[in-house]
Parts: sequence; C-alpha cells; structure tokens
Amino acid sequence: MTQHTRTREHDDDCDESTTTRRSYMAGLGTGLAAAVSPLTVAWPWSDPGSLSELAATYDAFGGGTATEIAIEHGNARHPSWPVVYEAGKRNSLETWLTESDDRELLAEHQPSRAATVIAPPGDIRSLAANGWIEGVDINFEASYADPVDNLAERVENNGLGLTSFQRRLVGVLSDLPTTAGLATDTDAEAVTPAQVRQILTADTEAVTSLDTSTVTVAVVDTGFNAGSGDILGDRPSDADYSPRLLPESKSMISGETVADNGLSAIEDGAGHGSFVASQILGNPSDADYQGLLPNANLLAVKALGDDGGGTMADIANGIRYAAEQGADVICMSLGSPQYGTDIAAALEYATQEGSIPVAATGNDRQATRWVATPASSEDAIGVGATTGDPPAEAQSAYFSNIGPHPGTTDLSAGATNGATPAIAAPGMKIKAKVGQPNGSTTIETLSGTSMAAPLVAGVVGLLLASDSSLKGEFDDVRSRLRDHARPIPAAGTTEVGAGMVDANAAITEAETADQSDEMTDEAFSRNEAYNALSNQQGGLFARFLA
Amino acid sequence: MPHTRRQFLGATAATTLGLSTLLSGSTAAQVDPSEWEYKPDHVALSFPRDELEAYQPKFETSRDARQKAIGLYGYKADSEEWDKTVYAYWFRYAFQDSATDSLGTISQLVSSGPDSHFRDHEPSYIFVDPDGTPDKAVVTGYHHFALDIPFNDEAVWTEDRLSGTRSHVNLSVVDPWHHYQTVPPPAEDSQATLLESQFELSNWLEARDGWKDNGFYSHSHGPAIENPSVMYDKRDTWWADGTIDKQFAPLWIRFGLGGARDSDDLRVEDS
Repeated sequence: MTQHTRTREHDDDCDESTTTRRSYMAGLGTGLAAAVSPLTVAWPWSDPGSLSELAATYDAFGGGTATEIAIEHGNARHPSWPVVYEAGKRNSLETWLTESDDRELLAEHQPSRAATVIAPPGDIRSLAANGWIEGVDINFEASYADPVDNLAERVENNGLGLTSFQRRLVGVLSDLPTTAGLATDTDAEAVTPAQVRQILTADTEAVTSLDTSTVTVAVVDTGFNAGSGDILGDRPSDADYSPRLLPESKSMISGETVADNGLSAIEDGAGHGSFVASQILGNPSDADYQGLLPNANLLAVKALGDDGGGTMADIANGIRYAAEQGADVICMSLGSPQYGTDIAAALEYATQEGSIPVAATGNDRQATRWVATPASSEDAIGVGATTGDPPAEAQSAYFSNIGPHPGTTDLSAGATNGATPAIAAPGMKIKAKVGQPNGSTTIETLSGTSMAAPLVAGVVGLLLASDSSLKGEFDDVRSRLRDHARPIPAAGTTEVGAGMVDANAAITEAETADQSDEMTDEAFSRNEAYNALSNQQGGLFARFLA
Repeated sequence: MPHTRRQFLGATAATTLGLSTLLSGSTAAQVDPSEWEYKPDHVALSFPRDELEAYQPKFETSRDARQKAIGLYGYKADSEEWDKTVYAYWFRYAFQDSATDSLGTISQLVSSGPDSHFRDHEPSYIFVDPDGTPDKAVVTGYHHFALDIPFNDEAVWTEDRLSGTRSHVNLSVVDPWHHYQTVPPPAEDSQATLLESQFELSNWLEARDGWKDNGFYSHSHGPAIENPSVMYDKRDTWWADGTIDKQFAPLWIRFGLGGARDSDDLRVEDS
C-alpha cells in the first residue's frame, strides 16, 4: 500500500516533515494562539507562561471564553485546573498549595507528574509563570459522542446544544458543508454484531481461531452493567459477574472499585459504556451479539456520569488509571471540541506505559466539524463512522467529524493542526445487547462515532492476540491498521483516513489498495473542499509556521 | 586550634565577596534552583533534630498567628573554618499582611507585587560557641531586618532542654507581620501559647527547593539564606541589595509603619 499524497496526514508513518504536532506546540507556545485565535485572550498584560490557550481565556471579571465552560467549586466558585510539573518538583507544588487556603489539591497522579488543583485564576497565573510548571489547563466538562438521531434535528438544534462560546468559537453553521454523497439515517441499514464481523473480515478462520483471553481492554465511559452475567458470559453460579470483568474496574468519580463495592461501583445509568463494552467484549448466549473479543478481559473505567458528561480531569485520570492497570487497549467513545492539555498528557503517558488508545472523532460535522479531543491527539487512533456496509459500498456518516484540523479553532495553540481520522468503521444503526442497571438486557440500536471506535478497539485487540510482540507498540499498531485498511471509494481521506479497518488483512498483512487512490470524483471534491476549509480557518498558516 | 571570633568574621566576609561576584554573572533563569549557589564548600548543612530542638527559640504567639502558621523548619550550619555553629530556623505562615499595606493606596507603588501577602517566612538564627553556650541570636526584628539578641540579655534567655544552659531565646510573634520582639520567659501560670507546642520541627533542607521554586527567596540576599554566618554582624537585613524592601524600610521604620513601632532596636538603626 502506498502513501497517499493528496492530503497531509499527521501520522508518524507519513513521510513528510519530522516536526510533530507536539514539538510544534512546544515550539510555538502561546504566540500563535494570540495571532490566529478568533477569541480574545484574557490577561493580555502578562505572560501566561505554561497556561494553555483555553485556560488563558478564563476571565476573573466574568467575561472570557473558558469562563462559560469551567467547572467551579465551593462557595468561592474557584475553577479547577489540571497541572503538569517537572520531575522532582512535587514538593514545590505542595509548597505552592499550602500558601493559601484558597488552593486545594483535587486529584493527582504522581507517576505522570499530573495534578488537578482548585485555585483562583490570579493564583494560577502566578503558578503558570514558574519554570518548573510544564502546563496548566482549565478543567471543563466533556461527554460521550452523543448517539445520532437524524440530520434535520441536528440542524434545527443548531449544533447539539453547544454553548454560545462553542458556537462563536467554531462559527457553527456559517458555512455548513454539503451532505451530498454522505450517508444520512435513511441511507443506513441496521446491522448486528455478527454482520459487523463480516464487514470487518473478523469472521475468517485466521481471526476466529485467535485466543483473545490474553488481551485486556479498558472502556473509559459511563460504566458497565453486566446484565446478570449475560453480556460477558462465563459467569460462575456463585458470582455476580464474569471473571472477565476485572475487579480493578473503577469509577473515577467516586473512587470506588468493583473489588470494593461490587458492580454498583461502575453502574451505568446512561447505558453508553455498556453498549460500547458489549460491542468489543460481548459473549452472550445469542451468538449474533458476540463482540470482537469474546474472551478478552474488561477494565471498566467510569469517567462519565449518568448524564453522559464528565470532567476533563476525571477522563484524564481514567486514562492514566487504565494504563497503570495494564490495559492493552483503551477505548474512548467520548470527546470535546476544546483541546485539553491534561488529556493530551494522559494519552502520552498511556502510550508510554504500553496502552493503545482508540477514540471516536465526534458527531458534529455540521457544527464543530473537526476531529475532537482526544481523537485529535497524536497518541490516539481517531475513528470515523460509516454505514454498516462493506467498504466498496460504504459511505461516510454525515455526522462523522473530519480533518485536517486547522488547529486554530479548539484553543490548542496549533497542537491539533493536521489531525485527521486515522481510520473508519461502521457507526450507523449499530445493534448491541446491552446490560441494564436492574440486571436485565435489551437489544439497542445506536448511531455515532461512539459505535465505530469500539470496533477499531476490538480489531486492535485481535491484532495483539495474533502477535503479542505488538503489545505496547502504538506506532506499529496504528501503521498496521492503516496500511491494511480497505478503501471506501465514496469517502474522502479527510473523512475516513486510510479507509475501513480490516481485521483479517491487518493480521495476515494482506495487501490492500490505498484510500487516496480509490476515491470517487465526488469524494475527491468533498475532500478538497474540507482541505480548503481547513486552510481558510488558519490551518495553512499554522502549517506554514510549523 | 580554636577559631577566634575575628577568624569567623574574616571567613564570612571573604565568602560573601566571592559569592557576590558569582551572582553578578548569573541570572535566575540560568540557575537550577536545586543548586547551592551561595553555600561555601567548607560549610556543612544538616538536620540533627535533637540539637536543633535544644536551641530552638520559644515563640509566644496569638491565636491568629497560630492559625496562619504552616510550620517551623530548621537546619544546622557548621564549618571547620568557623568558631561558631549556627542553628537556623524559619517559621512559615500561609499569609502575612504586607508591611507596605499601612501606606494605603501608595502601597501599590512600593509593594513588591500582588503576591507580597504570600510566602511569609520569618528567620531566626542562633549562633553557638564551641562549648555549647549561645553567643547571640539574630532574628527578624522587623520586615526581615536583623535584631541582635546577645546572650548576656539574661531576661530573654531560658533553660529547658539543655541542663545548665539557657539555650532558648524567648520571642513574641508580632501580629499581623510575624516579626519578633524579645519577651521574658512566660511565668509558670502563664496562659501564653508557644508555637512549638503545635508544630514539630521540620527539615528546612528538604523544604528549601520548593520554597525557592515558589519565589520565597527571589528578593533575598542569597548568602544570607544559604550561608547563615553572613548574618552574624555583616548585614542588617535578609533582603537583597537594591530591592525596594531594603531601600524603603528605613523610611517605614522612621514613620512607624507596618508594626515598626513594635520593634526592638534594630541593627539597621545603629548603622
């Protein structure tokens, strides 16, 4: 498979510049932010130091952009801030914390030198100016990528209930991309997990013969309901759940684990995490609803509440926890249009620890448009959604977020510049058997990139089961998936990356055609339009500076 | 051969000069905070808890000071080139009213910055002769300006942990600025509360990097912090030369601002 040349991809396997987005961000600092951001940055009279572009917009006087999304605490309503400090400087942070009663440690993860602190914005400004502080972000709420109903409702709602800040930030609907050639809900047929396995070629002998019990998958989401044992199967008669559900499964919100408090610790009132986990690990009595890894282990990490929302700090800490517990794959069907430096740092830590993060690109193509956080990270495999059809017939889902991210609209100071979906999988009208809090199970049908990401996470698990030497090799795994993906002619590389994930081809290293060589004229035109739009929003300028 | 007091002072002066030259050639941005820029190689710093507690001042405090106090930190400085051992103590508080606040709106012009209320840390150095007898204490008598308390001022030294030696100087913490005044030892039936009853002595050597990283000493005279011998009688303040605090303090003292009227006779007034 040859590398495409029409669009700029940010992946490490792309032979272009050796400058990564991470080094670009570090080199650029916040200088570019002020130059290309459409927003006013607060505290213009002082050097924001290590303050993220988003955090710098928190305005203590009531205006400011981050003010609208900040999570505030106590009677004083002070925000919380994820902080990363230099190695050996934990005592320095402790000293800073004890200087004022207004400062409080909310959570921390010493192995990755990360902490979340509550403090007034003026105090944070002085903290960020210290040379031993590597980064300070503001804590805000992210959510799972909402399951999609229909396009008309999406347009009428003017973008999924985005805050006025978010709408202003991204210019929602000011230049709505065409939906011509994209799959709407009426174009998609519902598909069962068994049908999905066929689409992903996960039903071949080379795949079904694999022993997946050696793989652990973390699902960072709304929790998990075991459905009286019928989701994961293999439940002993004297136990509440299958031994495949690891007792280390934990709620980052309450701090409880399954070992401590049983299944109630991770109870899923939203059902989203249970759906995702079933797609990957389901092994119920009905074989049609068997997931891709029917014998792998599940580490359920509840970082989102039953309303689907969660703090960036809880999500980042959930990623770190999953990595510490030895998760081979981390599935994140969640996202935010705003960049989070703490999430980025957590993902970097996770890949260093040997986990392979997989994330949904987001369901806001008509609104926030570009690949969301955490899928926009260099340390995650971002997954776009298609119809539940074989690659030759599949279409990109109208809601599936796209690239190349200009890096100027998410307050990332250019860190996400060039981010594009790495790969795609079915994410429209996907069926799954889902456990309920009361112990029952139901068959549900959902659409969204939330449903596409678990399928790629499952294929990553299959790949690791086929070759244990790939465990922890993030770059190699991502390259293997992309190099052996199947092209989706009706879609652009800006929509589906390297194409449809193909389990059999990835495992057997079968040769496949290149997505960029197979695009139809309509897909190619749409691709060019998205590239032009990215450039118009500052992407070209940002890439030039990089 | 026992060192004379003159030798002690001579070593101090040389050290101060040499390290000051080093300072002029470096900037804060170039210096690793964990490095000891101003400590001479012949000086050894350590934390012998029992020894330090034996010479620890007795701090008489108000309820307000106790609430703001974070802890007492100490270390011992010793050298074969000195005839004194120095026991150094820093009391740290979470908050301090700035001395310049009493200037009203003018304080905005002379204050060292918005964080002048933080990083409140108050020094007291005890200089001890080789026989274990205190020679004198040098403490902050007002806004980091030195107050000499000779051992022959019998009214303020008291015996406690060392049998036969009045090794503890009695200090009253002046609210709300937290500098020290000398006071007689509390009477047997006194209701005075000593800070040492609430805080166990901590190791300043372990805390020092964190303090420095947070700018505690960004306006301080480096040798006065890392080489306590320089405060024996060569400097009248812990502030660095050229700082606003050092330049304006004589004026504040003259007008009695920021608790200056509550001070004993400071070294700076004698110069």
